Amino acid sequence: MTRLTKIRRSYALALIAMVALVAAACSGTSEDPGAGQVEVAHYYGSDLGQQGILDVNATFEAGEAVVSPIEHEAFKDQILVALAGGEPPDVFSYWAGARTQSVFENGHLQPITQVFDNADVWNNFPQALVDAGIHGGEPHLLPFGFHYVAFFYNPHVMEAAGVTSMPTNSQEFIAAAAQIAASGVKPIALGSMNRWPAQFWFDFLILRTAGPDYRAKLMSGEASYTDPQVVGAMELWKQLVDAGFFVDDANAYTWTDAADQVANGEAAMTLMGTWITGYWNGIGLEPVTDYDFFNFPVLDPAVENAALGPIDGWALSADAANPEGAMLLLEHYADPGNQLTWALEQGALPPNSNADTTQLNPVMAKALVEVGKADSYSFNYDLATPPPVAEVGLDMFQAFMDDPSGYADLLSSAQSDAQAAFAG
Amino acid sequence: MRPTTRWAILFMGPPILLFTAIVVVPTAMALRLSFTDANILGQTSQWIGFDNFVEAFTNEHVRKSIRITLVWTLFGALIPPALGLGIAMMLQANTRFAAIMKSALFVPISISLVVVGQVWIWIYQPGDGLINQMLGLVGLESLEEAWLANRSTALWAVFIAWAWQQAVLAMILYLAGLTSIPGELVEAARVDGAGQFQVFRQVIVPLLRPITTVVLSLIAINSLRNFDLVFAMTQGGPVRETETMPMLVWRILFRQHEQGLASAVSLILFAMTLVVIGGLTWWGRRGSYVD
Repeated sequence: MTRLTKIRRSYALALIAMVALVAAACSGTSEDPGAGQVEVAHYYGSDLGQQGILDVNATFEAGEAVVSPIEHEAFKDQILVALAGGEPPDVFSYWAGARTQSVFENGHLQPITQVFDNADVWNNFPQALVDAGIHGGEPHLLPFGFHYVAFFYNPHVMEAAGVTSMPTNSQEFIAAAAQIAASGVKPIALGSMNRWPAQFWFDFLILRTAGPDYRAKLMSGEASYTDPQVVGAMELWKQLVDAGFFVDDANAYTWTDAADQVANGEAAMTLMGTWITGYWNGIGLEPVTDYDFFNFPVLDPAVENAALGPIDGWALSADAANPEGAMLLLEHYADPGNQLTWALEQGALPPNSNADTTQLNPVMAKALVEVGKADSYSFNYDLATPPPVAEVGLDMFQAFMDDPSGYADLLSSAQSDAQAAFAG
Repeated sequence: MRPTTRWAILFMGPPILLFTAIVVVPTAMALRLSFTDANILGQTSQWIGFDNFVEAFTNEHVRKSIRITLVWTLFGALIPPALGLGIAMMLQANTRFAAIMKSALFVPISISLVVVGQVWIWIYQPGDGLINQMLGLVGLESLEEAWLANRSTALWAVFIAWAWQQAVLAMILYLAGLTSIPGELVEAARVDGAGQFQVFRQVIVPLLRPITTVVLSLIAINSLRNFDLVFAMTQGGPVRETETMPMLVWRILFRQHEQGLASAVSLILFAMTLVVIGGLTWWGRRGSYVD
């Protein structure tokens, strides 16, 4: 046998091996369960209810939910790549509001009217939450959990500082903060390293002084960041920072760092969503005894009481490989028992009104009552304004925490950047 | 066709096809996208000519990011190679201590940049971070700082973490280069009366020029494409003070969804890389003893 023949034979063998591999791969695909398998991607990591999703999926008998949990921040990128690449999961978790609107407008979602009809979401969910799932006149997002943003505090620290009743207006709030500071503890923890935790301050200061209607205009570009309403809100925020009420170097910490500072008594409170309760429960803190919350104080009695927070939901990809199975899974997710299972694990509130809320811990039950008492419910900043504009504001909040004295310049530069972002 | 030509096609074809598929085609696609208003989520896009490039060069965030990247590359080309060469000179002796130190110093290069970032986040942590604790121990509490949150220290804090790893890369290459220098040349220089510094400057440094070109090229490429470490440590913050160009591209694409502008900035970065690497190659060949 010549050398060339040997080489040819080797190539032939390699080719046969490759064909065999491809054939094996194809046969593997054909053995997949097919219609019963639903691909699910979500952003709930271990500190945000991952186990709850596993528990809910374990009871999905109509098929099999194949889950890819993705780290919360990484999810924001990966889902865009999957959607743009035309290979999205069948079902994915997403944030209600401007983010879902952006994905919907670009044709990446399909309606889930069947789910809303079969699970009677129309009547079983509060109207505000049903509306949050409607885009283009049709349901596109199934609400799975919602949150309430408030001041979560450490009762032991409050007691040690002599703060016996929680503040309800700005004077009481400033007095309480001063009392806590005098006891040697920082009144307010904030971890704005990832920018978004600072947004709740901006949200509430605008909502409580200018009201939800003005804020909606600001979020849609009809109002300006240089308006007196925004300037006034930032001035209030600056006064609180200047008074030394915030922890030093807020931009060095994450939201969990801030939660830890409150938990271990380095700070008294943090303005955060109810998901912080899931985190605290996970590290062994007891509701009411070790943590509780009070509402953001009234700043202007003439302004309506708006509740604030995100709504987490599930969306169905336009390019879903298994839309029928996905619809069944979404119906499973709409079930009150399943919503409660996950809510208890994550520290969320279940949107389905038939969920047995007596199982919620006293702090979460109180949050549910407060949402019910609110005149309106608003999305937090980065879900209320289009994603490119949200980037502008989130940068501004972090810059503000770095140097509050320059807020006037920050606002005028935010206005020109936001205008450009709205113009697209 | 001659047999040698056939063999050349057989062996060169697959790599050329692969290179075309993973480099030429994506670059061409990026070039096309850079002239459109493409949105990462959008299904269609419009041709907008040079608008994205005009936007890139007039946008203050892009200009700042270019500045940060150039400063990083400049200091990257100075500090890690100098440190690497210094350590390599110290460790070139064939002693037991040098062998142990070499093994220990190889560790940073074997760690992923994300892990390096996590380690350095702890080192820089305000309060109980290593640096602040050490400052506290020696009575310099007044110098304690939130190194990664302070706008004037964040960039240098991340740079030091990166330089720590790159210095090891330079050291490894210089160690290899030093072993290739004939001992007779050094001996001859000494016989001619050259001192330690003169031997280093007149013999070792010129003979290491090809290695230095490789070191500088690798470090320049690592500077210009620096993403992992910045992402792990600061995500470009605080207030965009550590936003290198790859970070900026990520942000424009995934946070602002502007694929066209992100492609234009990527191409500017690509052009910068070509200029830097071209310049280094020219410099390396210009005075190379090998040539």
